[in-house]
Amino acid sequence: MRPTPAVRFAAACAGVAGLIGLAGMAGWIFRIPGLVQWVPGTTPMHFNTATLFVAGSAGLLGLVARRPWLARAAATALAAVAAATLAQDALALDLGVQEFGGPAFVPGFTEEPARMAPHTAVAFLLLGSALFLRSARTAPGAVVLLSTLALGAALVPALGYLTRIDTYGWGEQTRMAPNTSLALLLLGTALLATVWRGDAASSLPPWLPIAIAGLALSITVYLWQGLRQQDGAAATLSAMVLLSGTAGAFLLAALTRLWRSNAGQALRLEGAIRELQAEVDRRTKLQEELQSLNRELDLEVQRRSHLAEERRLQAEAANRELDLRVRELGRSNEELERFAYVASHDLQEPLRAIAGFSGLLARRYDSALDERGQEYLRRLVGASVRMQEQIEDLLRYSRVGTQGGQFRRTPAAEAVAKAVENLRAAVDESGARIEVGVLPVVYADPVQLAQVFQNLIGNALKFRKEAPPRVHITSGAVPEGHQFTVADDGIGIEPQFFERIFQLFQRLHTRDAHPGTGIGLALCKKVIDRHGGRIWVESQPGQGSAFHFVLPACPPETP
Amino acid sequence: MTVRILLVEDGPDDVALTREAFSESRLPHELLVARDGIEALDFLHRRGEFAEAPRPDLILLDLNLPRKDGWEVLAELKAEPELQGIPVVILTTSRSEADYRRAARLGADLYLAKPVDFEHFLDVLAQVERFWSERLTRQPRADGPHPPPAARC
Repeated sequence: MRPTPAVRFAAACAGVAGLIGLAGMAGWIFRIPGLVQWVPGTTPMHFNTATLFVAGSAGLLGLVARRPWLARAAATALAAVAAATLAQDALALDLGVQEFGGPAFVPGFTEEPARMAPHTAVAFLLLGSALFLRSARTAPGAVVLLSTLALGAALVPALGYLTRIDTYGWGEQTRMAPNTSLALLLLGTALLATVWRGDAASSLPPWLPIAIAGLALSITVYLWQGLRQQDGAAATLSAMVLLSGTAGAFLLAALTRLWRSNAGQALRLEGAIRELQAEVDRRTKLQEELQSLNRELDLEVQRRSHLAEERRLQAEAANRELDLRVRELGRSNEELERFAYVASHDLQEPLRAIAGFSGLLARRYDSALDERGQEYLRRLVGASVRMQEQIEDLLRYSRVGTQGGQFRRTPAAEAVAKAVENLRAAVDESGARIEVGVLPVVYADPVQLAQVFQNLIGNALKFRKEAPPRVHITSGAVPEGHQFTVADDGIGIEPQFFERIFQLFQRLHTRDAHPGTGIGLALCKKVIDRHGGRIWVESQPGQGSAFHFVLPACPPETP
Repeated sequence: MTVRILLVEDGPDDVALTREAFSESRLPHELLVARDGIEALDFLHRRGEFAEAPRPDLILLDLNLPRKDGWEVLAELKAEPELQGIPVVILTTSRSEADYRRAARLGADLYLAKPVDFEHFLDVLAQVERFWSERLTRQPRADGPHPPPAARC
């Protein structure tokens, strides 16, 4: 336990009292009058008294240091010696108490024979009892009463010495020494201090009326006793002092009690007010925190809306950029288309002149040429026709992206039927068998889808073996959408050409073996790309080919 | 009865070839030539040097022309009550379906793609003759132009 200020105060008082006692003992032992008799012409402190101060001091220090046995032993010694002294004086016996424990009377050392004053003995008895009760942890009331009575016993002589009015003795009995009264005051105060609990601010101790009453009563009694010894009208005065002092003591006690309860109420009220104030403060603080939070929230909301606005602006800027790019792309596509259109027209004009006039030459002047001349002329016409076809194909290829139709729900079976119808002549000529499975309805450009089937089926008829070809057209669902397959039993393709055949004007065969410009599969790829799908081939040379393409369930927007 | 044909064509080779092809035709004809759109319209409106120009029975119109292209000529022709009755045959290198539709929308009576070699060119002119003879027997015509020949694959 950390010692409270009151405990430290008690220890200090007890220590000083002990030192005064030790000084007295030393004075007796080493014959130093100044340590025993502080003021010349007054009573010296008796050796017994000095011893009891040392004992009392030790007891109090023991109490403070939580050694109750020490306090109890000291208290017993104090009470026993004091009681014996009083008994000896009252019964006029010599119990040898005055010489207890030391060099009692040394002739010539002091002016008067050293004795313990009955006054002092009473005070020691009271203090001893109080210390005993305190060490036994009884209620503080009795301790306080006994202590204050002892304090009063010491205070009256002390005041007497200060005012030079002889109130420090009873009748002709030995007087109390000034150092004794001081030490007694210190011990009594120390004992009271040990009873003091807690901090003075919280509340006044409940035993305060007792203390005040005890002190007043004690002072009254000792004062009365002291005054009784004075000359003259002292008798009536002392009686008046006794009466008024006693009445005053009770009045003071009552007043103190009232004041204390009022003070207690005031304190409680104050406490309530403080609590209320604290509550108000707490709520104010909470409200401030709430307001601060609200402000932060407002800021956050503003910040976020700011951010959202910024993002919106960014998105708008990005969209504008995208629009611009799309428009640019569209414009460049248009330009490309126009270029292709004009170029093809301008290219076709001289070409048609070459083909036309060579045709005219062949028609009108054939007989004028020899066989070799006629052969040259045929080659001239053939080359012009091929070039014209290539220009046409190039144009068609460029138009897939720019002049394609809208995507709409298209039954794939209808597209296949149209393709087969367009290929009627080739089908009849080759004697092909075309088997069509159950085909789904897809979302596509119907004209272009028919074109794809026409090119794939056309290839199957063109790159056939000797026997009449068989073509299977099937479909199945895949995660992305619908997969179509056009499989044949034709001459097949070597794996190294699987990619190449989808490029523009790439041919695997001589024109003599299989005529054509090499546009068909490139056109298919471009159409399927436009639909957001993909196309590929599986084939083994001599075993036939299977062209697969996938149309997504949801193709991109119609360009 | 001689058919008076106005050929609107800027290429001299094409003009010569057309003349040659028609020379093999059984159809009695007179071939007049305008070299661009403005000349063609002046001819039809009998303006300037063409004040005395005869009214053609049939117009063969190329689309790609200098100064004023075939589209504009076609549109102006068909907007003119006096001239809109003259059948117009579009004779062009374009095989684009879009061009075909556009010509039909503007009121062309026949749309023919120019072939590259002379033999086919003769076939095309045979179609013009057929169109003309049908028109003579079944006037007035109400149906649209014939579709273009199927594109070769």
